[in-house]
Amino acid sequence: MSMQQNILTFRETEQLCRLYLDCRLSVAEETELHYVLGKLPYRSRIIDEARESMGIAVALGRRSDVNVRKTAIWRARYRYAGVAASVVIALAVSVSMWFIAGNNAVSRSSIAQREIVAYEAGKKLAPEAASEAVDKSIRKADMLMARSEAFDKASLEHRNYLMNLTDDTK
Amino acid sequence: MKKTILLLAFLIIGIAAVAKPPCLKVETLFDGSYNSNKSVSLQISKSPKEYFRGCTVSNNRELVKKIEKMFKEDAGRAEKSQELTQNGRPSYSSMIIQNNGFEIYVGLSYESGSGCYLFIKGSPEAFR
Repeated sequence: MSMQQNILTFRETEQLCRLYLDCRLSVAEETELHYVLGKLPYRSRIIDEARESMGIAVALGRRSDVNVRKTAIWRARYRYAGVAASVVIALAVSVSMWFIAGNNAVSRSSIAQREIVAYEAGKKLAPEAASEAVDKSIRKADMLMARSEAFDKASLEHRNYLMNLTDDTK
Repeated sequence: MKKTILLLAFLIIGIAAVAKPPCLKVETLFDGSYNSNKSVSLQISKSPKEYFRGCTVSNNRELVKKIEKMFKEDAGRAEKSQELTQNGRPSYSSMIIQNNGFEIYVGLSYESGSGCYLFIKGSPEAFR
């Protein structure tokens, strides 16, 4: 058989394939051709047609290339799947942590909407007095913030006035 | 694969590490060390909407100076600051500090009789 493999040229192989397709080969010859087509790298329309009808998709030389390509493709697919899985896991962990934190905040706020503590002259105030002291303090802070904002606004207006004055004199 | 997971883990840790408390100097007034001080009144309030700290000092020049020093140290981080004066003396100082993408408003008002009133106000997210 190995002798035959060495002897067969492209034209001979093509001729054998043509005979095979015309159903003019014996069973033994068909078996030999099947073996030869699996080993030889020849390619043509008739050879490929014979290969196809024999169930040999591609010649062995090409098959190894395809296998290498397939392995590379699968490796890339595994890599992408790994990255995708990692992203999904990271997202799932983040979302669940966010939900847990949110639920904790909701449950905490439902238990106590507002945590209030106040000390006056070194003594801790009772909840009601503490609430009153905190509210008074917040009002005072708001008033100071409003005063500061009003001053900012006034100084800005004054600056704009001066700018316009300078422009007019020009 | 391992590299990707490691990279993602670092990314998550990095994001978590970005959110940090402001660690203001003036916040030390509310750490419990002044709770029993007779010249100090403290008001602490925390709700899902607002974080508030108020401190009133009366007849304690030293503490007022200390608070003023802490305020000035924090002012170095401020996005915006303002000082109002009355008769040539400071009457009210304020600043806005950004933390975690939220604003913290700190105000210091000087009161008669060696006293002052300091407050810290902002969104709770700014203090996480």
